[in-house]
Amino acid sequence: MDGVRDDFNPAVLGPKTYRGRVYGIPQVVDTQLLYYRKSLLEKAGLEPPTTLDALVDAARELTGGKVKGLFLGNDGGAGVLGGTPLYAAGLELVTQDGEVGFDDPAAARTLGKLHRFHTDKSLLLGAPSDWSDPSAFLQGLTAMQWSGLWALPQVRRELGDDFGVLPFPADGGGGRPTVPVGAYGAAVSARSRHKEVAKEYVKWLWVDHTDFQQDFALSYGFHIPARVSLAQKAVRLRQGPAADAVRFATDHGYAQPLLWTPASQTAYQDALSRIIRNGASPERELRDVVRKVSAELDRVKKSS
Amino acid sequence: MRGRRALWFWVFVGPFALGLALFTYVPLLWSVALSFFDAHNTVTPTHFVGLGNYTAVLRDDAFVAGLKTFVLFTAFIVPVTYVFSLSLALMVNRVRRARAFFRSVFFLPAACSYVVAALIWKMSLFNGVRFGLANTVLGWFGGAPVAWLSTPDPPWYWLVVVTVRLWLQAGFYMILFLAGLQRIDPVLYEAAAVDGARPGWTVLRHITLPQLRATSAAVVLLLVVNAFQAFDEFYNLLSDARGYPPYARPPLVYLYYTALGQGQNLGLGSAGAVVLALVIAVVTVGQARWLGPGRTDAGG
Repeated sequence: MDGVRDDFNPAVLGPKTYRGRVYGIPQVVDTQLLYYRKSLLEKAGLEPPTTLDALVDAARELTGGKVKGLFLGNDGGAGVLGGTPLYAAGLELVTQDGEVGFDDPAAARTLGKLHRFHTDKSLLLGAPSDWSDPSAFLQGLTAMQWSGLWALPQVRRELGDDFGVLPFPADGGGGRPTVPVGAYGAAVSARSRHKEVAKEYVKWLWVDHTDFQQDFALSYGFHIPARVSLAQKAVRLRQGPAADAVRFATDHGYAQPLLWTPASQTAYQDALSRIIRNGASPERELRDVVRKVSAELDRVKKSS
Repeated sequence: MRGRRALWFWVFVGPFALGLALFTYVPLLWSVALSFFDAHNTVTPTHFVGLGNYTAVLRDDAFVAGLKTFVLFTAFIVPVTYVFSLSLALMVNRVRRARAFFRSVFFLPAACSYVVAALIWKMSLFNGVRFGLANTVLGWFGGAPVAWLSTPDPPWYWLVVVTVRLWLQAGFYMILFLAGLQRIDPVLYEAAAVDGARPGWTVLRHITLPQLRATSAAVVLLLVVNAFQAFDEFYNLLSDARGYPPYARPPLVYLYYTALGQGQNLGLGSAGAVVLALVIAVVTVGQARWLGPGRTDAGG
C-alpha cells in the first residue's frame, strides 16, 4: 500500500490498522445520517437543527396526531446511535492509547438529553420496518429519521427535493457534528496455502485498479469510494444531499474503534437503552459501563 | 439365537444411540469442559481458568436479570395456559355437536411455527403505529397508539410475549385435558348428582379436578420446562439488527448473544448454560416430587 496509503479515508483505514500494520483494505465507505422533510420543518417554522438541544426541540414541535418527530429505530435509538452521541459531545469510545474514552461528565450530560425524546413522546416506536429502511420516513410516519446512506436513492426517487440530510448534531462546548462510518475490508487468510497469490490479487483489485473500485462503490448500491481521490471524482456524489453526505463522512466521520468488542458494546448499549427509555441515571449507568469496558480493554490488550 | 437378538438390538437402537451420543452427550460434556476455560473464539481452548467463568456469570447483572425474567415469565404463562386450556377442554367436552371440529380448530395453532407467529404478533397485531390491529381497536375507543414492544414502562411487552405463546400452546394442552376428562367415569358425576352436588363449581372442585390430578401434574411439568426453554418468541419479537433490549431477555437469549453472536465467549456462555441446566434440573425434580406425576388418576 506504499504511496497510496494516504489516499484512503483515514476514518475507515484506522480500525483496520493495529500497531502500524494494515490488516485489511477498506473497499467502500458507508455512513448514516439524519434525513428530514424540508416541507414539514418549514411548516413548523424550524431551521434544520445543528445542536442536540435544537434536535430535541424540533422533534417535539414536529410531533402531531399522526406524525412523530423523529425515528431512531424501534428500540428508541440505543442500537443504531451507539457511540455517535459521545462523539457529538467531543468524546470517543476508546482513546488512541486504548483507554475508555467517555469517562467524563460530558458523556452523562449528553446521553441524559436523549431521554427527553422519550418523555416528550416525540419518537416513533414500533414501526413495521426498522431504521435501516426508509419506509417510515417515506410513509409520513415521521418527520425526521436516522438511516443509512444506502437509503438515499430511494428517498430521492420518492420525495424529490423535499428532503435534506444532517449529521448527528453537536452537543456542548467541546462538541462537534458526527456521523458513523464503516467499511468492509478485503483481507487474506494467514493460514492459506496460497497466501502470496491471494495478497497479489487483493492488491491488484483494491489498490491498483481504481476503475473497478469506482464501479463497485457506485454501480451496485450507493457507497462512497474508500479512496479520497475517487470520492472527489464521482459525479453522482457531487451535488445535493449526496454531496452533503460525502462531506459529513469526510469531515465528521468516526468509525467504531478496533478494540471496541461485542462485550463492551452490549454493556454500553444496555445502559444507553435504560437511559433513553427508562430514564435511568446516566452517571450511575456510565460508571458501570466504564468499569466493564475497562476490564474488557485490559483483556484484549493483554491477549494481543 | 442370543447373538442374533443382540445384533437386532444394535441395528435398531444403534443409530439412535449414536446420534444421541454424538449430538447430545458429547456437546454437553464438551460445554461443561469449556466452562472451565477462557474460550474466546475457540472450542479447543488452552487457558484453564477454574471457576472464573462461573463467578463472572453469577456476578453479571445481565445474566441474573435474565434469570429473574424467566421466573417472571413462568409465573405468568404457566397458570394462564393451565386455566385457559382447561376451560377450552371443559367447553369442548360439553358441546354435543361438531366436537371434532372445535377440537381441531383449537388445536390448529399448535401446528404454527413460533417464528411465524412471533412475526405476525410483532408486525401486524402489536406494531406500535396507528394501523396495527391492537392500536386500531384502541383507536375506536379514543386511545392513543401504544408502542407495545418498545416501551419498558409500563411493560406492555409481557402482554405480547404471553399471548403469542398462549395462542400457540393452549390447543395442545387442551387435547391432554380432553383425554383426561374422557377417562373420568360418568358414574362419579351421577353419584354426585344423586348426593345433591350442584353442577358447576362444586362438581369441578370435588370431582373433575381431583380426577385430573395426574394430567394436571404432567401439564404443569411440561409447561414449566417449556417456559424455561423460552427463546424463539422472545428473540423474534424483541431483537433487531443491532441486538436485544436489556429487558425481557431470558437467559437463553442472553447466552446466545454472549457465546454464539459476535461475542464468541464460549467459556462464559457454557458456564451460564451449566448454571441454567442446574436450575432447570432442581426445579423439575422438586416439582415432580411435589406433584407426583407418576401416580395414577384413580390413586390420586
